[in-house]
Amino acid sequence: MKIRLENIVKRFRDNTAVDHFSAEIESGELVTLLGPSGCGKSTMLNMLSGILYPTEGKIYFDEDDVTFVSSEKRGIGLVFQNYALYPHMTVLENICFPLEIKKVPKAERIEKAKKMAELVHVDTMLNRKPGQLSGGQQQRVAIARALVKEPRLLLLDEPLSNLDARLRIEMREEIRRIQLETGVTTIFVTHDQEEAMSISDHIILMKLGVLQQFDKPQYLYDQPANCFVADFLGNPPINKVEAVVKNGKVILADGSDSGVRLEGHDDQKVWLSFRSESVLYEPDSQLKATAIMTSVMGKEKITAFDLAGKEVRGYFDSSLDFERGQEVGIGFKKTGVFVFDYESGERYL
Amino acid sequence: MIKRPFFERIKPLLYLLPFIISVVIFTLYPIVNVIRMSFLEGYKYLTGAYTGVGLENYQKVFADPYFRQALGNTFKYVLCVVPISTAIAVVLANLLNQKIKFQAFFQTAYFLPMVTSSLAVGLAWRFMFNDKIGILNYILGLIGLEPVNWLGQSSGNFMAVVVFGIWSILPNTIILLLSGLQNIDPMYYTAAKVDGAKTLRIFFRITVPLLAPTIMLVIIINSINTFKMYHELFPLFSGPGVAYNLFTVVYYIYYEFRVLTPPKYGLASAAAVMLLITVFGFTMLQRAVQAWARRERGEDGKDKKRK
Amino acid sequence: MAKTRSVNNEEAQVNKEPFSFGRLLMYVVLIIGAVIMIFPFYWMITGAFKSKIEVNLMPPTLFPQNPLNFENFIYAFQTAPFGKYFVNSLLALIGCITTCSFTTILAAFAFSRLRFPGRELIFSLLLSLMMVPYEMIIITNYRTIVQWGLHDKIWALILPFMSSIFYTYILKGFFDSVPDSLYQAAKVDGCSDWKYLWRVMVPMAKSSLATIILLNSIATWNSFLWPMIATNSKDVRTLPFGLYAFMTEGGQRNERMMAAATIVVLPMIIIFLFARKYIISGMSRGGIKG
Repeated sequence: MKIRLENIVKRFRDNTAVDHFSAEIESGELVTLLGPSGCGKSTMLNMLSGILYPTEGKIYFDEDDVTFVSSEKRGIGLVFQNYALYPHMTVLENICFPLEIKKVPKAERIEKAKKMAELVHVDTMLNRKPGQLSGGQQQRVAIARALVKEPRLLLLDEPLSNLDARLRIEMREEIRRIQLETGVTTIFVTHDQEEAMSISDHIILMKLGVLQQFDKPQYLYDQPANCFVADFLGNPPINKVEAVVKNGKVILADGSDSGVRLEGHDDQKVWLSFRSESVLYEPDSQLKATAIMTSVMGKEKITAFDLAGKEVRGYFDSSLDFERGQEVGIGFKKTGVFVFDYESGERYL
Repeated sequence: MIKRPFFERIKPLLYLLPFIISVVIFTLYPIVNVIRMSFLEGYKYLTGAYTGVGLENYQKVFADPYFRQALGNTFKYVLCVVPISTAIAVVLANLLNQKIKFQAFFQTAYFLPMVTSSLAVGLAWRFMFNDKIGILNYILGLIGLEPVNWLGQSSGNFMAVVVFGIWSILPNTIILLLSGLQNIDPMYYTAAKVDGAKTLRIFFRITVPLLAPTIMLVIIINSINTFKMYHELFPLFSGPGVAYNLFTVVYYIYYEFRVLTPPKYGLASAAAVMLLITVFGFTMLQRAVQAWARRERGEDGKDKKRK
Repeated sequence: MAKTRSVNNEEAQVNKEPFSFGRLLMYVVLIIGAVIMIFPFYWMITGAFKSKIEVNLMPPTLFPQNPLNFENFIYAFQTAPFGKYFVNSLLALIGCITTCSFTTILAAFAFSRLRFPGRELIFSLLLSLMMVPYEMIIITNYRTIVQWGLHDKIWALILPFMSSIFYTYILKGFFDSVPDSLYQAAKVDGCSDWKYLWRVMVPMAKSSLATIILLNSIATWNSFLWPMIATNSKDVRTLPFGLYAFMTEGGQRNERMMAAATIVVLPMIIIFLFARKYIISGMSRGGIKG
């Protein structure tokens, strides 16, 4: 099912949680709503599920205007951060419950529930109560319960944040597998960029209620729309150095020329941002950085430098060796280097 | 925002209806009605007619020697029962809060009176208080004391009702104090022990001060409860003591509207309103103490964070 | 060190308490206290098995000479219809529990989950009504019952107790603790409020409901003054009122009175032995209320 959001605004008293949000989500995709806490992603999800109604704007599921349609009439499945399983019902009863409300005959709903339990791999624990399951198993049951009524849209609200690190990776792969097997359009809310990068078809990155960028994960990383997007994605985080544009050259705070060229923004204060993998070792370069510390990470090593008073990191081949305090000439690749406006974060390069 | 449909909006009302109707008829209306009746003069219960509005009922109540006696008895009773029962309960609650064996047995023993009919147990006490064949006078004799005429002469029967009253109120008092004790962070005890403090010192220097808000609360709650004393009079004396010598405020209310024929609704109501005012005063005091205790705890919380 | 007791519970679980004089003293005090608290019950029940002669013996016998002497119980059941009283008590109990639980569940749900204007205000006003002494309310309730023609009817024992602000307060507290997401999950599935209440909330609130029902049972079973005011004839008397009437009407034979008192007290003792934890936790909340 295709989803269209038109100029959604949600205000709580004086506080605007979502501000003129528009997006179109293609059928069968897994789209992640990503952003730091308080960015409005959960509010957005609640409006998609019908728990909240927007203050302004329209929500369409395919061609239907569902803006003010109540949750139960939207045909959605919802998975909560704390799973929200009914503690007094068994796994099977939990999965059956949505069908029971729809008055599906008993035999049929048990059959469907069992099929769903198989899909999420909880078919061996149908008679247990949620309290007897691990976090990951509870999450599987919650997904089964959301999917059993064959929703047009599956919504997942930070479904992995209560799990430990190892289970989180396992479960996110599981969610992706289940989503691909069922082909259900899915919206996944998280604040974890790595999670978002690894499972999404598209990512919507939000900040303070405003959509920042809506793209494929790799594109978000390679071509950030603004400084915030560049900062938010990537581990280690993107390097940021203050600079000024002079005669088309990006000059660092200590007066050295970065070698990066930018036309049309002379005398503007900017951020020079670059990915760690975009740093090159160029012994002859005019641009010098002082090595601080090196950590070995298998075939590569990552070295921290002092560059014009800022700490930056770069990946190098492990054959290279820098002493602490050594002056190293560096340069940049063509990709993964950006220039943003110092104040607005607008991207110039 | 869209308007919720009409049914959606009145639905909460439907859920509340049985509850609210019942509360209005059997709690709210009675309160209003009693306040109203207390100001009506020459009120005729059967016809609802009255001759005027004023403070006559209150004047009559204050002039009534029975009421004055009731007031005196009630205060005397509160002043006897509350301090003694609180002191005993503080000690017992502390012991029960230790890691003790036979917890189930002790809990059963100490809390059983809360679930049993005070009338039935009161009859057992009446049996024990019997001046000739009662076991209490026998025990007094064993330790060389004069027998007490518990149920007969006036000083004796006041003592009887105080003893029964303390016994009755102890379980509830202990339970309140226990929940207060369980709120005390064990780290204080550990700290005191590390400093080498001995048991009694811990009790007086750590436990009692930390428990002070709860103790205050217990004193107030027990004052309210003992102020309403009159249940105890029925099993022990089948009435307000011997020759009406143990009238209490609430017994007075009961007496005016149920024992007297024809009932004096006006007097009963006026006395009830005064009871309400007294209880209201105590309750305000309780709220203030609770607020104070919360503040104390709140500051504790900040201390912990600072560490 | 030998004399210091561990006051810290957690630590006590790790370290075995060494024997000490202080600990011995503690048990002595606890046991004396327990004996005093429990003795009236012991005296009541043993007294019920004593004969007319034995009960008047000085010094008294600590244990009945003939522990299988049931003649006092037989007398009680024959002269006063204690069987009938028992049934009446049971009827009043069932009536109170069913009506009160029903109104309490609905009201607690409305106050906890449904949104309507003035919800918090109404609830806090109701809470403040809890402090009003029952003795004040009784005056008018007696008149209401008489006016409705219910005087001396079993309904007189049920109707005034059809709702309880205190129990509603307890149950609302539990309902409030259920995460919102459960409600939203059910809503998304199209579950109505009514169905959510009975299929999800009520089964989850089992232990709170058990506490409420137990407290309600205890209060109803032991209630004595209201039945004495609102009823009269032997056909509708409950056990405590029956016991009181037995005492005032049937002479003052101590052993017979103890037998009758035992009949009243025994069911609650049995319930307490089985449900001690629920009752104690409920009672401790009862005391804190405003």
